[in-house]
Amino acid sequence: MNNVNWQWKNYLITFLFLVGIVISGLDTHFSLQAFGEPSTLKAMNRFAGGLWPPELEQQFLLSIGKLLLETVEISLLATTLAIILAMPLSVASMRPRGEEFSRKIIGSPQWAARWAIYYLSRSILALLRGVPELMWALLFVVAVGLGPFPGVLALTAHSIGILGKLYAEIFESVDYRLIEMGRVTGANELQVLAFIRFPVTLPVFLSYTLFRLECNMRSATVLGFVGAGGIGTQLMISMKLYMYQEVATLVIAIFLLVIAVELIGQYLRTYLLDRPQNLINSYQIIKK
Amino acid sequence: MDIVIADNVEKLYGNNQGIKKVSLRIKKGEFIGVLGHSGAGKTTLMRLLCGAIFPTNGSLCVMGQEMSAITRPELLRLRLKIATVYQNFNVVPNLSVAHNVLMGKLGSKSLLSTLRSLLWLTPAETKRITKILTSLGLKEKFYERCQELSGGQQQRVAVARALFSEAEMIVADEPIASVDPGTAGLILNLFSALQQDGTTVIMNLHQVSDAVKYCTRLIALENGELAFDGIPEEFLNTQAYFRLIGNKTQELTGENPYE
Repeated sequence: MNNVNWQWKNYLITFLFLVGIVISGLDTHFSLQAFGEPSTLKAMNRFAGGLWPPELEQQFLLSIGKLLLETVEISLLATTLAIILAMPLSVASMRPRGEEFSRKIIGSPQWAARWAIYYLSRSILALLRGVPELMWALLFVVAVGLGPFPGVLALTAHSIGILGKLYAEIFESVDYRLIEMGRVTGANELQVLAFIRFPVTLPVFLSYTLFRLECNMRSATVLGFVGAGGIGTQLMISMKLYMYQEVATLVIAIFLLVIAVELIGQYLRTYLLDRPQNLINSYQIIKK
Repeated sequence: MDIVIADNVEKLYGNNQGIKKVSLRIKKGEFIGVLGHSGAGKTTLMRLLCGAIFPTNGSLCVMGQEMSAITRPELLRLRLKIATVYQNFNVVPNLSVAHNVLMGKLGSKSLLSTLRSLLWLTPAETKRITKILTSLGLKEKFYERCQELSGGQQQRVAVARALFSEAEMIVADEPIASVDPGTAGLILNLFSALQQDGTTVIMNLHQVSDAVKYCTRLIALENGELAFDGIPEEFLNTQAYFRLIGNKTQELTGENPYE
């Protein structure tokens, strides 16, 4: 393979990429002129002008407060349920490693069963993860009716898929020699999980879980679009009724919520990660 | 009574030979020192004895249990009777010293009791752990996290875990390789005392003088093969010994420094 040949290939690949980008632009009707068209300008002007001043009527603010609370409640409950359900699934979808789980040592039936469980739980997690939250919400609205409950179920389902996979991967990542040290004391796999895998990966575990809580909070704000509770319901109603002043208030409220969640998450993470003994040695404080 | 019966045990890692046709018998209550160069198969032998890995060929019988035909419940029960001290990765860095020591008996606990002990130690547990930590000079480190301890202290925690497990056999993989001479003496004396009480101790080490002083029997491995098996006094006169410490010593001085 000479250099000239390679250069030709690189040029060709670059060219194909550029062609692909141009085609995508054409197919999605991308146009900078759209911003300059009189009708668009008029619509945008009406929308932007309508946003100000934000609706500050007391009754409306009160109802927004209630909806915000509902949004927080949905994400909090969904994240908690997801943690509880993701844990057993993540344990089942950890790759069985070590000679004691080889076919020769545990025997073919057990070996096959262990790997079957592994692939089954991995598939369940992939399915839960693969369907987006909004689609889960649509399904659950049909199944259990309108309101915040299908929202909780939707966020739970999607979060199990994500957390389960992440937990399994961080538990697997613990140094194998440390795992072996635990196993040769006679501890079973769950005890190794409780005493080695979990404590060692706790910082990452918390980090991922808190991040998921943040994501759920953001997702909960749009669940209302499909009738699954939260502040999104009001946002959609106000949009459809051209009540742009209400929309402005709602957008500001959501923005403040997201900022607040971000700040709380940051505080929790530094509190727990900089000083993990706060959590692990909690009994120490009780005893002293 | 033979606690370990190895018959032509071989261990292959892919194409690499960890151990080649090793046959030996270990009696209950022996204190065995395993010597050999790095890569001679010492750690492989230790891992085979504590049931972390299994022989590729040959038969290995530990406490009457044939390792190649062992079931999982049998394996867990057997491991409870064997305490292991590894060279590295010996303690869980994020857990307290007390919890690391407690791990020695984890296998005999129910899952519920395991979770309980993570949050709360019973007075009996606390008392026993304190007693063992005191004997190792770690009493005031009871609640400290292991990652805050020095290397030598971590090694002592690992030894404390072995003591806590009240095992019939202690398998120690270079327990004194990374500790100061004082701690090394402390650990060896503790193992010696356990051996007096009838515990079998198998450890590998590089310090020939310590091996000769403490062990009742020495085993030397060379390239995965058994080069010597006998009482310490004999070992100092064998070719295996000179190969271990390096031919140069003999060539230069013409004498055995340990005689």
